[in-house]
Amino acid sequence: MQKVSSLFKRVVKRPATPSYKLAKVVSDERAIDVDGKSDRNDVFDGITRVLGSSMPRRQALRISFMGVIGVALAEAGLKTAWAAPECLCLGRIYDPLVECCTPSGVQRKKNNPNLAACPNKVVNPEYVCKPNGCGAEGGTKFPPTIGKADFLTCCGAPGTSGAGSHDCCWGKCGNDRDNCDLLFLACLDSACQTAYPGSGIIESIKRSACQQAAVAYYGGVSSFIATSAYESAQSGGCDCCAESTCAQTCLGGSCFNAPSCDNDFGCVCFQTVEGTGFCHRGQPCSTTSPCSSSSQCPQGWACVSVTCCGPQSICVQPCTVIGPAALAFETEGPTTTGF
Amino acid sequence: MFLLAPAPRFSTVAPGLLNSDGQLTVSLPILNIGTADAANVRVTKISLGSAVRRSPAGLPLPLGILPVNGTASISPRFNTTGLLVGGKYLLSVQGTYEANNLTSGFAINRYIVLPAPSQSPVVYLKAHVDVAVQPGIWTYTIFNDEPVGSTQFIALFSLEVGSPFTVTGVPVGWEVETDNVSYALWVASDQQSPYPHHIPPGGSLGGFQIQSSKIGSESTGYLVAAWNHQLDQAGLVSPDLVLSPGKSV
Repeated sequence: MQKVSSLFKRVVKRPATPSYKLAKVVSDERAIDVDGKSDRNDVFDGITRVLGSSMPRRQALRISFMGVIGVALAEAGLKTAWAAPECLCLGRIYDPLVECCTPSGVQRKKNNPNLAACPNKVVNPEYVCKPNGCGAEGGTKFPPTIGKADFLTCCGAPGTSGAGSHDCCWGKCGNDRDNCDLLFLACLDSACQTAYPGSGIIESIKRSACQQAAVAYYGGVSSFIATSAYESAQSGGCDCCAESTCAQTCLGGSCFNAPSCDNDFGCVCFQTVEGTGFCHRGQPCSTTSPCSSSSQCPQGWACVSVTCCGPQSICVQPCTVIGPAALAFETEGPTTTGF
Repeated sequence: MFLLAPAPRFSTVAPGLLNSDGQLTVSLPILNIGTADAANVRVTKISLGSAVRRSPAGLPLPLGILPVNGTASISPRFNTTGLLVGGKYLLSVQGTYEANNLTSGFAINRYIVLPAPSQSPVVYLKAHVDVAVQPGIWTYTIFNDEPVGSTQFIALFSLEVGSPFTVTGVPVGWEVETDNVSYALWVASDQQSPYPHHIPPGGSLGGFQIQSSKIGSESTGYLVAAWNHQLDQAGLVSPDLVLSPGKSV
């Protein structure tokens, strides 16, 4: 343990400058690869900066070469594997195009049924309300008409814009559910009165039965049993977050020279055999296992080829471990990060 | 470079559950999280372990178009006899849809845990409707399942229909209103108390009949409504699903 403590101090004292510069250049390369439109001069600016840094020249040239290849592939209309957007969120890699970083961690951006975990949810700009009629949200399927009383317009008729309908009210991001439900009841009741305005006993039975159905329908959709349906509707209308660019990225380094993730010096970025970055907390080489793809590793782990454990590809743990505690430097011998 | 054709993709979330009056109601949203609208979505099979399904009594159940990012809900009901509170049971929903000029199948499976019995947020009339189907002919019988002594007498039956039809059966003492396309509404003709043709608690009445050139059936909505004979005013209602001439079969 004494040795571990001294190693930990070395890690903490290690200057972060080379890692930072590397990460910055990598970030530039990714911007190019992702949209394929940036000026290639940016790449060569980046190469110049790398060559001027304190990074080992062989590594700088390797990284630069990867960038040039990336541009060449982008020119050919291809995206490189290492060009996928990779941002960091609480020590985890995520793709800002399809995911969001929230205080509770990475969340799916589109169709996220757990919008409670998205404090910065926004209107889904691609959402168009397409109502699908009177469903069974409240636990009971009601017919779309009670006699000639038209409930369908209140529910949201298929093939229409559904303006003012319950379907679209629920689907609009941020709409108050109670208000939607009350508007729905008013719409249904109005449909009953419009269809059966007369005063005879038969007409009264039809109208009042229709109004009782309206109240029952409202009771269902406003009850707890319909909560999942409301949340599903909101998940279509809302994105978990707005368009964002990640402030922090991760591209794998090499043994003794891996950039840190989230400024956590114990958490460094390795490149997986699939070509993406992976935030990894060092572990004894003796605790790793060989692999040829990340799918062969435990869930949440990744298969990386460049480590301090030798030339073979091995499964390594993430920085944030859910479940059993992270594998610590409890044993003697070499480690994945060299420290 | 591989380009995938836009396609619907079905998903679901945790359903709403209600264990009440010996029945489990499952409110299950079905989401289209794919990249293309799904047309003519039909549920063809619903099961919950070995539980007996009470509603819908007949399938298929048409859900219409399920657009991208859209949601449709189904609410099957099952007898809770033989199920244990806290027990885990597999809810399985299967169906078909159309996209890209192809008819495809979908399946949604989800484990649910039977909740403790609770009060239903809405009090419904205890009633049900049976249907006898012959080619082109659908004959309905209404059952008033209220306990004897209840003040709820059935006075109205409204049926959603998916195809053009004609009404060929009206029970004695009842009359019908219809557009011959989308609905038929039968109502007791009695003008004043004691309303002799209303269906009393424990009673039943058959002879509600329609005919259509469509041979196939699908589940559509209906409403049975009661008149409160004690208060001489509208009573409880009972909405559910029953087979009627199919729109697409």
